[in-house]
Amino acid sequence: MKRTGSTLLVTSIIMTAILVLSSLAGCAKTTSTKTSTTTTTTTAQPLKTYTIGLLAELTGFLGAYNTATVNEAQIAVDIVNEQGGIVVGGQNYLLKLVVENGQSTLDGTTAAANKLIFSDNVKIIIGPDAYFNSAVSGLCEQNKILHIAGYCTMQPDELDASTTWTFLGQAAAINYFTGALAYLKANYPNVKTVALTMPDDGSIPFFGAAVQKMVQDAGYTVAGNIIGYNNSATDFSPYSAKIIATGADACIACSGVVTPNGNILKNIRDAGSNMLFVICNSVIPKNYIQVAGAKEATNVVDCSAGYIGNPNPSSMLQEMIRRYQLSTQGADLVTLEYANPVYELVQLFKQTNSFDPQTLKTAFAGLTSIDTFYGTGTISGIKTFGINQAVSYPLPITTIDNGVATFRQYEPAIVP
Amino acid sequence: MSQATIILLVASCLNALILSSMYILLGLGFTFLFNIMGILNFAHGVIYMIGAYICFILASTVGINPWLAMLVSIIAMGLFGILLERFVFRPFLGNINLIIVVCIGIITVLKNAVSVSQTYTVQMTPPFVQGVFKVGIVSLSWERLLIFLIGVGLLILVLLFINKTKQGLQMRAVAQDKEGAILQGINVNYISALACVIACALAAVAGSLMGSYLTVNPYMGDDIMIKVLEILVLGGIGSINGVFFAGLIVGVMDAFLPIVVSGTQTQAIMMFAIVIILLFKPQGLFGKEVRT
Repeated sequence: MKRTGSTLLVTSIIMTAILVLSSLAGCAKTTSTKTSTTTTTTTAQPLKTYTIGLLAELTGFLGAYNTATVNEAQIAVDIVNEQGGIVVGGQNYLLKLVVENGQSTLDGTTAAANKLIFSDNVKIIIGPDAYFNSAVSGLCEQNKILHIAGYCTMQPDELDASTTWTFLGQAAAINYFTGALAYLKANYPNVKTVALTMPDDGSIPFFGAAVQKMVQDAGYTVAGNIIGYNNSATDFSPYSAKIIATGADACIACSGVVTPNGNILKNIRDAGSNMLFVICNSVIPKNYIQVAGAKEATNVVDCSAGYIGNPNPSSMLQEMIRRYQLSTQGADLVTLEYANPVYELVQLFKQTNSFDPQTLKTAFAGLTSIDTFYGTGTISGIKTFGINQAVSYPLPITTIDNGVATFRQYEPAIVP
Repeated sequence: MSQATIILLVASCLNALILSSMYILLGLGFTFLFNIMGILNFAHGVIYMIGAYICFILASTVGINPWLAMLVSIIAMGLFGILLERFVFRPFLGNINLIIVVCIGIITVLKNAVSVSQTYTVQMTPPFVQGVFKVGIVSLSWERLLIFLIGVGLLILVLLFINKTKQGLQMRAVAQDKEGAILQGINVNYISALACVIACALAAVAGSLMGSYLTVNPYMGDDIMIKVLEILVLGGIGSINGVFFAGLIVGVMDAFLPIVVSGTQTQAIMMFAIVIILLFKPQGLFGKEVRT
């Protein structure tokens, strides 16, 4: 009996610890955001705050990635607040981000969007990531919430002529693809056939169809069908084997993250093929070299967001890099896909002298260009999305050979 | 048949073998625990992830040799297995509901703890071996060959252990009839702890290898856990032979299906095939009928 009692006691302690730690872990992100905001509040003079909703996937497959992009957005807000905040109607305001977690699922993202709109009462939402806009754009349309996304996979209801309250503050992923295709066309005349690969996450009929048409319009033959891979595959070798078997001159990884794309590249090289590998996504070349290996990371063209190491970063970008590295012990920036919308919003606040979402929407829709961390962004997208509400900016092109990345040029990469 | 098709077929056969060996390795650990303790350890995927992180941190951050890092990871996870058995599983033996809740607790704590403590950077264990092995028209990286060889090697060792050693035979006795084993003087708690150690160590090996081959992230255990469950259900829960054959079947499907269909269709077809097999063999390929 005594032994059973002690066992129960130990078990109870462990279970209590599990529950407490679990709660702490679940609260960790909110706590860090609040801490950061509180620090800012104590150092700035103005008393009023204006709250912006931020929808991010803080857990699930995008958890680590979005934790970083939320951190970037918070730094952008901190920079604005330290410069005195925003003056609207003669009153100074500090900006505040309220972050809700979409849990990397459509259901979770819908719930988080509802919470932002009906519980947090925000009038502006930044985010979400990946293909989750389809859970948010319609809600924002119904409730007249200004919605600025940082990524779009072109699935129905993400951004089209019917989503007038939605803007794409950073026109990824089509932006990256446009830049890569333009560079390929200008610099690799021997490439005639291309294999296209991307995650099979539901975007192939939409984003896939759009890029396939762009490739064909550029005069290339697409070898076979688009090769859609499972993001959570244990091994990407079967996809690499399939790409090699197409006999294409080049493979374009149209979107996706570093683990699948880097492994596909590694396996293509290990299988003995030296086909040109074109990457268009939000991952820096260094990470591809890391995943694929120095020897395998060769004959690669990379078109991704502007990062450390590329020449002539804007002063805003330099400041962002400095602060991000301080807060992460030297990590590289991710994509600024939430920070750029913050930066664009600040310009809209200043231009309109208003927080009214209708006024901000009208002003944004009337612009043809806007500043981004990466330089002047062009607002376009009528041909691609059916609405001119996507911000494209010049993208750096890097080539990788034998594990060495070399910056080549900035490509305008304006989304049609 | 064109050379490209031959290369594709050969490459897919090799892929099937490599994938199967990894699946079997993980499935074995899970089956061990079920056989000995009657526990469906849903936290097995998280143990695999923690094993990968220990190896990654030691090899990348601390800078020690990846082989040594893997060894430390195996030992650490083995010790974790002892704690798991003593303080988490043993008190709840026989209560499936509580075991599930405890496993969910372990998953939540460990996954979130890793998630919030890691900066978003690409995390990858340095390679254990480098270079490419070339035979005729087929080339294969030494890294993948290593995964296969270690998988097969451990499989043989585990089978030898079960069939040839005293502890292995005791495990079989406990799995067959726990009360009978106790009456024969077998220390069931010791055997259970040993099973936990082996299961966690096997997960650590798999995690360390895959952390070098793919990347390391807090959610890496989720996908592999689904694979393990597919294998267990298909092979028959608790059957070592079942794990072996179901691992081969799932590995072959994972290697060949992406050649003809897309990624998510692969998953759907695989699940459909498993359901069809279970319709005719509800206890799995090698599972025994449930005794009442």
